[in-house]
Amino acid sequence: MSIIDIKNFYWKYLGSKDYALKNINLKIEKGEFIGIMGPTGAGKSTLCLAIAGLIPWVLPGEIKGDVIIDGMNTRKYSMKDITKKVGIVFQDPEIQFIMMSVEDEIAIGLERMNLSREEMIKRVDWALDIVGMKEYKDVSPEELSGGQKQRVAIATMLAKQPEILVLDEPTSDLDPKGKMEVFSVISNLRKEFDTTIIMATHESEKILKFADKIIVLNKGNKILEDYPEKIFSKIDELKSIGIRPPQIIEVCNKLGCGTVLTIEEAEKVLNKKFSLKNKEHYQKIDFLKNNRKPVIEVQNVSYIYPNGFKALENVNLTIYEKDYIAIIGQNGSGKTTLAKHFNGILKPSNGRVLVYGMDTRKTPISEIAKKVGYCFQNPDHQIFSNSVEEEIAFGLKQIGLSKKEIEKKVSEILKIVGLEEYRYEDPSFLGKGQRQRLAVASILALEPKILVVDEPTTGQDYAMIKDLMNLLTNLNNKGNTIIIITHDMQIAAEYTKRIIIMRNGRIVADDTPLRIFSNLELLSENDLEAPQITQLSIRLGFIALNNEDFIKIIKGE
Amino acid sequence: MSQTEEVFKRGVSWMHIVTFAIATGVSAILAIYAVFAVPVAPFPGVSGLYFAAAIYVPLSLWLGMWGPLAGYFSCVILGFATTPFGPFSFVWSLCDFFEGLIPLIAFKLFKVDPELKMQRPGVTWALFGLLVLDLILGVVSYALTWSEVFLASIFLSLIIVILMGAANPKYWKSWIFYAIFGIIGGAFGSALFGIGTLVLGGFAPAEAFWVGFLGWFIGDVLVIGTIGTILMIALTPRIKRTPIYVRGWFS
Amino acid sequence: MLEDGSHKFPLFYFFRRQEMSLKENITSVRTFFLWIPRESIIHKLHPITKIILMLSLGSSIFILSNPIKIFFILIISAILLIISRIPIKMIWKFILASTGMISACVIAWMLFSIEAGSTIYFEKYIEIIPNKWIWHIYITENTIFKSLLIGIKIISMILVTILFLTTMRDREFIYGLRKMHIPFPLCLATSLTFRAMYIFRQDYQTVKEAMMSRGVDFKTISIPKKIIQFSRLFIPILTLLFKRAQEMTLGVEARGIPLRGGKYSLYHDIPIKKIDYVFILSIFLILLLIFYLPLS
Repeated sequence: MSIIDIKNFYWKYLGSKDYALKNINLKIEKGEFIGIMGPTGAGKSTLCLAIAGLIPWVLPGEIKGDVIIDGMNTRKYSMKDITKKVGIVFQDPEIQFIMMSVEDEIAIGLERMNLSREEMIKRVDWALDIVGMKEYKDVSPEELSGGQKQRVAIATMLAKQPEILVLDEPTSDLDPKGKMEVFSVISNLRKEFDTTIIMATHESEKILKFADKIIVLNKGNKILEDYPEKIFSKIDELKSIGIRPPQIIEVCNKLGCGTVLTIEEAEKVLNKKFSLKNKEHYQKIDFLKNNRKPVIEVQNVSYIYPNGFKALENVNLTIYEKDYIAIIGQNGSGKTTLAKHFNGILKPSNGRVLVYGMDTRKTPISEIAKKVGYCFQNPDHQIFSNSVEEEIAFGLKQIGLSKKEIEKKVSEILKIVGLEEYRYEDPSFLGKGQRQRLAVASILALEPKILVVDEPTTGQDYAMIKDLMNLLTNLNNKGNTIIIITHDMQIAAEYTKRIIIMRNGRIVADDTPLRIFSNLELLSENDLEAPQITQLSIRLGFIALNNEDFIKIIKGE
Repeated sequence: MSQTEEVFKRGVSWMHIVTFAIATGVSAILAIYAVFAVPVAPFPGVSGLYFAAAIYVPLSLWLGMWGPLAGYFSCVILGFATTPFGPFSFVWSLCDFFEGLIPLIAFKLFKVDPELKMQRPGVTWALFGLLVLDLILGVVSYALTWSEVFLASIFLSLIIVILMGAANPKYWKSWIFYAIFGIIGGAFGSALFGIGTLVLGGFAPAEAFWVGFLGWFIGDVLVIGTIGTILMIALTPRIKRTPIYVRGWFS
Repeated sequence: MLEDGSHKFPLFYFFRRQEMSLKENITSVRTFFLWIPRESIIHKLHPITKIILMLSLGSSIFILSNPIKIFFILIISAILLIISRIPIKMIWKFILASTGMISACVIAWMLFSIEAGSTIYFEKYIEIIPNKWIWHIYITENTIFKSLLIGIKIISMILVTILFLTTMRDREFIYGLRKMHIPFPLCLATSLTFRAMYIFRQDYQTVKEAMMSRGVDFKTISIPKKIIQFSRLFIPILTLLFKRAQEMTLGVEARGIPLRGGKYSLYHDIPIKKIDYVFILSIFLILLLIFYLPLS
C-alpha cells in the first residue's frame, strides 16, 4: 500500500471561481522524495495543504475525491490523527513561530501527545541535534536568521517523528547558505529515518539531486509525473509553463548530448563530443567607468542600527550612469542596508552618500525619491491603494502632477508592465507576480533614473522572473541605472553587468560577472556558488555565464 | 468517486484565536505609543489622540466579539505597562471594550453591512468633516452649558447624518450607523466609562471630569472619524473575502 | 546603548536588545519584557510567585488610601528591586521618564480638586469663559494630601511594574499562566500577542520606508496630510497582519493542537519550591500588617 494515495482529488477555495486542484491522482511510496513543481498558482501549495490535512480541516472550500495518508482518509480523520503522520513546513519562516523560544516552539506540539516530560526533553534535544540547532535552544525567534528559522520549523515537525514531511517552498526566502542547510537536513532525514519527503519548489537544480520523482502541476492539473531526468528532458514544455530547467540539462540537450544530470557527467560527455581546446570565453561588455557619470557615491560610510548592530563598515562605492548591478551576499551582509542609503531611507552614521551630488543627510527624501526608486522585497509592503490605477497614481500625486498628466502616465506605465487589464482591480486580489510588477510600476511612474529592486525573484516562477528581468533590462537599455539585490546567481550572471559581493558590512568584491563568477575561491569564501553552467564551463577550460554563450562557445560561433 | 462537499468551518476555531491575538498585539502597540505621544494630564493612561481607537471599531465590525476583546486586552496591557493602575486596569480597560461593542451590537442587531461604499466621495468626505467638527462643538458647548449651541449642534449633526445617507442612497444604512454608533456612540461610551472609572477609582479628581471627557471624546472622534473611516473603506471589502471575517458574533 | 545594555531613552524600552554578562560571556537576548538577567533570588522565583507578588502589591497600592502605608509598600518594592540586583540607574531612568506624568497628575489634582480643609493655602477664581466656565483653584491641606497620595501611588506602582518586568521573561509569563491552568488557547494567544507586537513593529518600519521611497516625507507634510498618510500606512500593515493570521493558523493547526479538550503535559513544569511558598506567605503577612497598622 502506498503511504499517500490521492484519488480524483478536486479542491476549490471558498469564494474562488475555479478549482485550485483538478482531478489529481497520485501514489507515493514510503521513503520516496517527491518534488512538486509548477508555475505560481499551479496548485503546489494547495496540494501540500491537502496532504497535510489542512485542507479540508482548516480551510473552507469545496472538496471532491480523497487523500489517503497511510490508510487514513483525511476527510474522516481529525487533524490530531493526521499530524501524527504528517508534518508540514511552510515557505515563510516568520509565521511558523508561535512561541517565545526555540525549545518551546518544538515542545508545544509534543505536549498534547501524552508523553512524559523526560521523553519530551529527549525529543526536543534530538530534533535540534538533527537540524544542527542545539546551541540555540534558549534563543528567541527574533534572534535567528531565515535559514535557522526554517531548520527550527523542520525540527518542530521532526520531534513528532512523522512518517511524512511536507515542505512548501521552504527555501525560497533563504540565502544560498540557508538553502544548502535546509537541503542537507532533509537529505539526512531520508538517509537516517526513511522519511517520505514531499517538497514543492522552484529550485530545479537542487530538486534534481534529491528527488526520486517529480510531479509537475499547471493550473491545478497534474501534467507530468516521472523521474527527474525524464521530466527535465522535456525542456520546451517546462519552459512554456514557467519552469526553469537546470542549465546543464538544457545545454546538453541542445548540444545533442542527451539528458545529463550532473556537472561531472556533462564534463565527460562534452569533452568526448567536442574539441574544447583554446576556447575563448565571452566577455560581457565591461563597464567603461571613464565615459560615464557617477550617479551615486558612497564615501566611507558606516551604519549602526539603533540597537547597536554595525551593519556597514567603511564602505566606498561609486555607481555610474547606466550601471546594471547585482549586489549579492549572505543574509546579514549589509546589502539591503547599503541599498537603503541610496534613496535616503537610511542616513549614514559616518561618511556620506551623494546621489547626483545631493548629500542624502541634508536632502529631503521626497527629493531623492525623484531620482532613486526603491522596490521592496515583499510587494505587499508597498501597496496602499484600492485599485491598480490608484496605486500607480499615488506617487505621482505626491510630486504634484495634474490629473490629466497622472492619467496619461498611469496608462503608459500599465502598458510597460503589462497590467492594463487589471487597471481597476483591487491589488490584494492579484497574483504575487502581478503584485510584484505593480510594485515596480508604482516606482517606475516617478521616472527615477536609478531603480533599486530588492529580491525581485523570490517566490516567483521562471516566466515571471524572465518578464521582470527583461523589463529591467529594457529600462537599462533606455539609460536607467538598475541595482538589484538577489540570491539568484543565475539571474545575476545572465542579466547584470557588474557584481558587488558584500560580507559582514563590507564590500569584498566589485567586478564584472565574468571575473566574479570565474573566481570560485572568492565565491566559496562568501558562501556563494557560481551558476551551474559557469561551473561546468570552468571545468571545460573557458567561462560562460549563461546557456546561450556556453552553446556558442562550444560550437565555436 | 466521492461527491462534492462544501466544507465550511462553523464555530470558533484557531483562526479566530490567532486573529484575536494578533489584533490585540497590534492594538497594544498603538495604544502604548498614543499614550506616550499625546498624554492628557491629569489622567495617566489617557491619550488625546488614541490611535488604537482607529482600529478598535473596524476590528469589531470585521471580527465580531473578538474585536472588543482585542480592544479590552490591549488596554489591559497598556494599563500594566504605562500606568499606575495595576489590577485596576482590568476594570478600566472595559472602556475600550465598549468602544468596539457599541457599534458591533448596532450593526449586528440591525443587520447592517459594514462595507462603506461611496457614491459621491467628495460630498461624503465633506459631510464627514463637518460632522466631526460639529460633534466637537456639541461636546464643548455641553461642557460649558451653552444650551443653545448644544441643541443647535445636535440638530445639525442629525441633518448631516441624513445628508450623508442621502449622498449615498444605496448604502445609507451603513453610513448612518457608522456615524452614529461607530464614531459617536463608541467614543462617547468609551470616554464616559474611561474617565468615570478613573474618577471613581481615585486616579483623577472629579472636578476634572469634563476636561478628561472632552479630551478623550474629541480625540477618539477625530481618530475614528479619519483613520478609522479610511481603514473601513479600504479594508472591509478585502477582509470580507477572507475566512477571517466573522459574520456572527464569535464565528 | 548604555553600559548595562539599557537604551538611552527608557520610553522606547520595548524590544530593546539587552546584553547579558554572566561570567564575562556576553550573549544577546531580546525580549518583550524588560528582563535583565541577574543571579538573584527574585529571578529564581517561580513565575506564579512573581505574578502573585505583582498583583498583591499592585492591589494593595490601589486599595490603600494612607500615604504612609503606601510608602511602606514602596519601600518593600525598592528592597525587592535591590535584592534582584537591578541597577539603580535603570530604576532612576524610569522614574525620571515618568516625572512628567507624575508631576502632571500631582499638579492637576491640586489645581482641579476641591477638598474642604481647615487651612486654605491658595484660592483663586479664573474666568475662562465669562459666566460659563470658571476655574476655581482651591488648595487646602487635604488637597495637598490627596495630590501627594496620588503621586506616591504612581511612583509605587511604577516600582512594582519595573520589578515585575525586569525579573520576568515573557516566556516565563506564559509558563506561569500554563502552570495556573489558564486554558491553553489563552496562553497561546498571549504568546502570539507578544509575537504580533514584534512583527507589527517590523512591518510598520518597512511600510513607512516604502512610503518614504514614494516621496512621502512625514516630517514636512501638514497635519491633515499626515493623518491621511498614517492611515494609508495601516492599510498594507493590517492586510499583511491578517494574511499572516491565516498563515499562522495553519502553523498552529499543523501541530495538531486541538482547540478544545485534550490533555496536555507540561514541558516546562517548573516546580514550586519552598522558597516560593515562604516568599508568598511573607508578602501576605507583611501586607496584612501594613493594612491593619493603626496609622492615621
